[in-house]
Amino acid sequence: MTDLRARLTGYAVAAFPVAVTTVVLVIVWEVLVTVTGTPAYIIPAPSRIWDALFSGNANLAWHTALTGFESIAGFVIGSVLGAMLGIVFAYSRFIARSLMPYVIASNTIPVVAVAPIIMLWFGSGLGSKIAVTAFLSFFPLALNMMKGLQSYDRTVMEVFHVAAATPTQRFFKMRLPSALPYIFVGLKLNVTFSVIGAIVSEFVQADRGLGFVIMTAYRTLNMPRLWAAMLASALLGILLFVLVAAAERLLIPWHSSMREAK
Amino acid sequence: MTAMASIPILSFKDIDVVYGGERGTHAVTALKAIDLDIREGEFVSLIGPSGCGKSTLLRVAADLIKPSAGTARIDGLSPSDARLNREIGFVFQDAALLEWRRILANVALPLELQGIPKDKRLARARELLRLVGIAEFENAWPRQLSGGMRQRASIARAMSTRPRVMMMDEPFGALDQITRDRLNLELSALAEREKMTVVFVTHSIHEAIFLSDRVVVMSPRPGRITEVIDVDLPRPRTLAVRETPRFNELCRLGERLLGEGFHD
Ligand SMILES: Nc1ncnc2c1ncn2[C@@H]1O[C@H](COP(=O)(O)OP(=O)(O)O)[C@@H](O)[C@H]1O
Ligand SMILES: [Mg+2]
Repeated sequence: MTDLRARLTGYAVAAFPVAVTTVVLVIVWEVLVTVTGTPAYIIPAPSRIWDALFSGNANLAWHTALTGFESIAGFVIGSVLGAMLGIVFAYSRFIARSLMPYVIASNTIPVVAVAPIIMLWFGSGLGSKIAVTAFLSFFPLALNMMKGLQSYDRTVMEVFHVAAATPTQRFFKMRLPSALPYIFVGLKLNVTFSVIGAIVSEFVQADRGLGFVIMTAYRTLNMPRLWAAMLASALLGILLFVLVAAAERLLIPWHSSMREAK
Repeated sequence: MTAMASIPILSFKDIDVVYGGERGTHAVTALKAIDLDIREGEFVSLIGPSGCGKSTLLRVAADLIKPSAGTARIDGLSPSDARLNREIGFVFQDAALLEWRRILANVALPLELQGIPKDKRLARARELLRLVGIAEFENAWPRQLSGGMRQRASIARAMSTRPRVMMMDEPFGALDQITRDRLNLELSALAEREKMTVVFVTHSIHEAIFLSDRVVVMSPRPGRITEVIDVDLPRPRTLAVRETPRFNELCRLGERLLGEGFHD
C-alpha cells in the first residue's frame, strides 16, 4: 500500500514539470492569439480548439475511438506476424538472408504509396485500414525479435546445455526472456506507427476516423477542428504507447527494479 | 581409501583437442594426450598459464565440446550420456544467472528443466541457498547481488541435481581477494560435507593447494599435464593451514613446476 502510494507520488513528482509547462503554454498561447488578433486559420486559440473537441456533427471522441480500434487491431496483427517472422529469422540464417532484403525494402516504401494498393485489395471498409496499419507495425518487431532472440548470453546457453535442456525449454526459458527488452523496443515503435498507419489509410479513403476528420477540416478550412483532431491523434498515440510501456514494466520487473535502483 | 573409491568417477584417456584447421584456418592443438583419473570425492585442481587447455579439458568432460581423439568417461558413461543423466555440474567464471528470475528460481532452474515438481524443486533450492549461505536473498534479483553472492547462487544451482562431478572453471577469478578467501574456505567445507567430486580450474597456486587433494600442473602449446602434486595437508582445512610450513612448501613446489612448464 505504502509502496503504491510512494509510486503514485513518484509519478506525480515526475509529471509536475510538464503539467506546469502545459498550463503556462496554454495561457500564453490564448493571450497572444487574443491580443494580436491572429486569425483562427493560422493559429486557433486553445479555447476554440477545446470547443471543437466537443462540437461538430459527430463527436470527435467517436472518430478517435474508431481510429484507436484500427490502430490496436493493426498493431496486434502486425506484431503477431512480425514476431513470428522474427522467430523464423532467428532460427534460420538462410531464410533470414533470403527474405530480409524484401522486408527492409518493404519498410522503405512510403505508406502513402502502399496504402492505396492495400485499399484496392481489402476494400473500402475497416479491414483495409487495419491491413495498412498492420503493414506499418510489422517491421520493427520482426527485426527486434530476431535481434533479441540472438542476444542471449553465451554462458547462459552453456548452463542450459549442461542441464540437458530441450530446444523448447531453451526457447521459452532462455531466448524469449532474453529477448523481452528488444521485443518491447519493437512493440513501442509498432504502436507509434500503428496510429500513423490508421490515420494515413483514412486519408486515402474513408468517411470516418481521425484521418477523415483532418481531411474534411482541411478542405473546409475549419482550423480549430483540424487542430482538435491533431490533438486527439497525439493523445491516442500517447495513450497506446503508455499502455505498452505499462505492460513492459509489468513483464520485465527485473528491468524496472534496476531502474528504480538508480 | 577403500577399493570402491579407487575406481575413477571421471577419467580422461588419451584426449586430444584440436581447434580450427578446417577451411584453411590455423589449427590449435589445445590438448595433447591427456590421461587423468579422478576418484569419487576427490578435489582436483587444474593449474597452468592461460591457454594451456584447462577450460578445454573441463568442457570435454561436460560435453560442451567433443575431443578430436580419446575418450572421457563419467561413472562409466560418455560425457553426453552423463550430461543427459544430469550427472554433471558446471560453474563458470561468470555466474551466468538468468536476470529475469529471482535467486530461488535461478537455483531451481536445472531441476525445473528436469521436470521436478515445483514444491520439491523449491524446497531443494531453499536448502541449497542455506548451504551456500544466501538463504535471505531468495527473492532478490541477480542484479541486486554482489559478485560473491552471485557466484554462491551459481554454485548452488550447479549442485541442485546432485551431480556426480562438479566442474568449476575459475569460479572465483573475478572476485576480490577477501571474498575469494572466504569462498575458498566455505567451498572446502562444502565439498567435504557434501562429498563432492570437484575439478577446479584456477590461476592461483595458493588457492589450488588450499582446496585440493591433488593439483594437476599443465603447460601450453600443446596443452599437456606436466606434473601432479599430491596435497597431504590435513582436513578439515582452515585458513590457519596457510601458515604451516608444509603449505608454503607445496606452494613453492607448485610455483617452480609452473615456471618450468612455462617458457615464453
Ligand atoms: N573455441 C575455440 N576456438 C579456437 N581456439 C580455441 C577455442 N577455445 C580455446 N581455444 C584455444 O585453445 C587453447 C586452450 O584454451 P583454453 O582451454 O581456454 O585454455 P585455458 O582455460 O587454460 O586458459 C588456447 O590456445 C585457446 O586460444
Ligand atoms: Mg580458461
